Amino acid sequence: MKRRLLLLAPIAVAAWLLPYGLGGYTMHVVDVAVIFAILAIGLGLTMGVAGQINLAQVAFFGVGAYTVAILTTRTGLSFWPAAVLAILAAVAAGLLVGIPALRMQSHYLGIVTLGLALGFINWVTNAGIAGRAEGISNIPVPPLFGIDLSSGYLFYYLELVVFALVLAFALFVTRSPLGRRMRAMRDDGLAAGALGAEIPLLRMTAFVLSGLYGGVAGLLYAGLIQFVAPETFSISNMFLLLAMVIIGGRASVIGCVIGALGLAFVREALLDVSAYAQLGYGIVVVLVVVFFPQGLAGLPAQVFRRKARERPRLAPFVPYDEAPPTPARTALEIDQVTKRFKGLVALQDVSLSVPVREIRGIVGPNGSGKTTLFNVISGFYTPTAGRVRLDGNAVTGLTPYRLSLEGIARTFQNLRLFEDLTVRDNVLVALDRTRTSWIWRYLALPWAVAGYDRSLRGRAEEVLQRFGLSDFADAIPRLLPYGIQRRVEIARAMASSPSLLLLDEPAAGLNGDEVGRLAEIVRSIRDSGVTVVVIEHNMGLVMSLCDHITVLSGGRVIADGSPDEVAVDPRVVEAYLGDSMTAPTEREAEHDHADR
Amino acid sequence: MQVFLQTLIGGITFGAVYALVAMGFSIVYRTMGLVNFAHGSVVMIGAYAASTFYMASRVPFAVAIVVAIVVTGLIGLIIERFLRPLENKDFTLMLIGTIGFGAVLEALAILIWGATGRAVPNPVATEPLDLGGVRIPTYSLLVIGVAALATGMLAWFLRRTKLGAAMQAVAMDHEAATACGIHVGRSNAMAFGIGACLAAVAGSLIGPMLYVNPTMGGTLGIKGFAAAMLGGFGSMPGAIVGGLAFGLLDAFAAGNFQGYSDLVTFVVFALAVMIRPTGIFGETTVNRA
Amino acid sequence: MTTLTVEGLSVRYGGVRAAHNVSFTVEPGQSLGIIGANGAGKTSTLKAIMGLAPRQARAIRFGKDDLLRAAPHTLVRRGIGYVPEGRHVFPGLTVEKNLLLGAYCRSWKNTPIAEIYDLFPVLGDMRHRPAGTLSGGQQQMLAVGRALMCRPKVMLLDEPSMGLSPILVGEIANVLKRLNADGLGIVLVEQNAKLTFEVTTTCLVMENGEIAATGTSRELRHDPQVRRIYLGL
Repeated sequence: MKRRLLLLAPIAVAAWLLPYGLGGYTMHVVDVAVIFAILAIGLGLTMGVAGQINLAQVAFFGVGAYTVAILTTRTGLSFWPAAVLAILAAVAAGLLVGIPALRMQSHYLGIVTLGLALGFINWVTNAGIAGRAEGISNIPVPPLFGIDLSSGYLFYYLELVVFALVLAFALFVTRSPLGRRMRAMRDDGLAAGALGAEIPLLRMTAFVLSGLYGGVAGLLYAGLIQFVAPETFSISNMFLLLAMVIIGGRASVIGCVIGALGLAFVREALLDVSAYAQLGYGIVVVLVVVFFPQGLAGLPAQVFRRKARERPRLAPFVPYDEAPPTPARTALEIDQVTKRFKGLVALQDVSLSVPVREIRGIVGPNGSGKTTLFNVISGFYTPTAGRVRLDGNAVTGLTPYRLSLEGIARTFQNLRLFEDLTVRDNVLVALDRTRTSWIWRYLALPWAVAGYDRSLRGRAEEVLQRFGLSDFADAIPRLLPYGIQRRVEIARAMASSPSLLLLDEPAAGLNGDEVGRLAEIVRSIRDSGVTVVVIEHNMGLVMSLCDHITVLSGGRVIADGSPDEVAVDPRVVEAYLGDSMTAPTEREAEHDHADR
Repeated sequence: MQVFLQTLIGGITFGAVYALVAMGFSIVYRTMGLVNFAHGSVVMIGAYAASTFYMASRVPFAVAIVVAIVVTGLIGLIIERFLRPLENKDFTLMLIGTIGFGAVLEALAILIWGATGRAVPNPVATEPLDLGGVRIPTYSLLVIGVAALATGMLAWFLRRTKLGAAMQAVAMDHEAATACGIHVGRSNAMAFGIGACLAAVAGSLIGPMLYVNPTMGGTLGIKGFAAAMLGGFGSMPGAIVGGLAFGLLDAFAAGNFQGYSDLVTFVVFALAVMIRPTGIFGETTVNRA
Repeated sequence: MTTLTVEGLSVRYGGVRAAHNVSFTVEPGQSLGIIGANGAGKTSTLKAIMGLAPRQARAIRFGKDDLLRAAPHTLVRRGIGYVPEGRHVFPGLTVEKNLLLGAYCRSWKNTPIAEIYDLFPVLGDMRHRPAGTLSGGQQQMLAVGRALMCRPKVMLLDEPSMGLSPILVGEIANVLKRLNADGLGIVLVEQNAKLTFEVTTTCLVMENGEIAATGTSRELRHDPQVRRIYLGL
């Protein structure tokens, strides 16, 4: 941290001294570039960090600039009150444009936001109040303690202060729990939801942030140029902005700033041959997308592969403390659950109840409905009929994030780690148990947020240490061996302090030793007071690990009992082998039993 | 009533062009899951290619359309080749990559044909037909006819030919298609080529209706895309219905709200897809999160 | 002789080892079963032979052809038919189109489609229906029929019994036995051990991606090890 501050100091000094070496026109170009940098940060936050395709950023910019222009010239409001209202208006526009994100994502969202941006341009070019195609001129110079801001030099200092603030806020947001949740949502919305992230609110937050940055940029633009016209907010500028963010690196705030400043100067230098410039940046965008998806910000990592100082090692798991015995009660009860998909019955009248502190195995042939059952329990599917109760409370049909806060954690058959987050960040996402409504603190009490983040980080180290993952804390999951990824996923699930843990094929892809260690971990989790339900195909593991087994076939429960009972049940043997012909006779079974 | 019918005809004419653009989007999307944001710019190149050839060499308009089809078909193949590594991988990256291609095509158009644009003379210079007071421009009939012909040929290709069946098979299940001996990459390239050809037809037709200029691709592309979405992305009947619906929406918005037609059109469109994100004939998975 | 030879085949998805060191040979007229529990690596093995999964092998040959260098879509032409797991018919196309696509590599003027309709009369009755509207069993027949359209010499089948009623499973078994008797080589991947033992003469048992046991189907039918692998006893 101190090193970073030391690095920042010369940059800040250089930025402060910059105007002394520049001519008037160059100063103006720099002023505009800084405004684009602010816009780019906003776009980076929504698109790169939160993964929401937002092609309406220029419209937010326009809302900010036009609000100032209209309020100051038409109503005689002075600049700063108009500026505050402009920010509010841009945030409101962000909310409005963000609403479609609740219903659609990716290219659909892209086209809807782009359409709404076109609608905005259409409005300003036609509305008398917005000055039509000629725009609005004579916007007053912002007064500031007698400083003459009509000078591009002095305006630069105002911009610099604002820029430093918004940059710091963006960095703060991306590195805090909110930013982690947004990045988690970008990488895997389903898994993020299952870990307590309130996806709809997070999407809206992303659009609010982009509106906020658009508004700030807009009011600075109005104050700087004192003139607004539709072409500044055109689609081609939207694409320029997009190119800035992509070339700089959309997931990195600093990358966005560098991309914006760089491209703004390039554009200025090539103003006389703008068609060539557009050709150039079009080609660069295509090349960046195909060869350097992380943009400039990803280059250092691509060029200097960080060498590991020593070979990282998976440390042994540190067992949980055994919890004192609790009175027997039902942790999870599934009552007559049926789930149909378009006429296909995936689950039919499935009932089972799992007492607290039990390891329950769910087994059955392919397509017997095991994962569907997990999806119903964890809220991904709403059952067609039936009820789910957690510790006696009805939780049927609750959303995954609510269920996560209620104490259900799960892993996924095909692993759903957040691929571009470090192992530590994966765990941190799960540790954060706040509701999204908590985020008002980011503006009002940033120090409280910082304190909370520190406490989370402390606990993350504990979790990583317990699961023997400390050496991998800064690693990117997809580069780790599969066995370690599996363990990261369990660590992440346990970081959310669940009362019920659902494991979907935790042993898939593990070798013999790893399976043994997995069994040890799962037993310790049970002994710490957590109820565990596990879907597994490795029958050796199921038989030795589970206290009780439920067998599904064709969406129905066909057997339920202790491992020994289930293994000799003819219906089970038939489900697995196609026929009961290889089922042991009763005498053989008794014989087998005596052997053990 | 007369005004209504007049607007209706205008709407259907533009709708026919939007339907062609939307079909181009859809055929690429359903075979390879790629949303081609450069499609609008391909339409623009098609408009330029056809009008240049038509105006410079005075050949029949139909020949000009064929030339435009060849030019854009090649462009389509080039774009597909470049973006192939991203297929089915990262949606956002593909989307941005095609936007980049759009910018390249636009810049090329400015460099070749200049930034100012041109008016294209009407290839059928006859008086509009008068039908009970409603004037039907003969060019409208030509546009609707050509669009219907292109649609019919596409349907025939997909339904009746071996290659068409193979392309549909790839769209439905590319692994099973491979197991049947179909080369998926070649089929994808063909889909992209066909999409580009449809863009050329659309561009050629719209030339005489609008002012041909390098930035026309943006709006046309967005409207075609919106039409595809309204009908249900990836569905061919959806593209036709969506295109016509969008054309009518556009025409009536222009009739009733004059300058604000784009605003009204896009707000209505946003509301429509909010209510039904899958469109009229839509696929089920829209929200991929 | 067109023998399908697989030597030392391994499949890896990212960090996961799905199959390891699998070897076998099948000639036209022979039949080989591969059984094992879910996740034992059976499907991955077939997919890897077809070039649809990341693979490593000492050799995969078909007659003189080196399949390791062959593009996946050329395998049909060389005489290998493949019935993927979960049927994978083209749901929006008619039954007839589905079958014709099976003969994509040859002229559509001269296809064995009439033979397929003889083999599965129900497909003939439904030839103009979209494949997606067929029942599971009919779709399975369609998938088998589609793979037969190119007159393969060896056919790879992945879990044709999945989700079918016992009667339909029996029907599929009869068809496979008939085809086998007519000289078709069969590799049958199955979880349904009974069906496999009935159709094939030789069997491999896979566990955790490796071959755990080999033998004639008659021997394995009563082998307690098979039961252990399936039920974890």
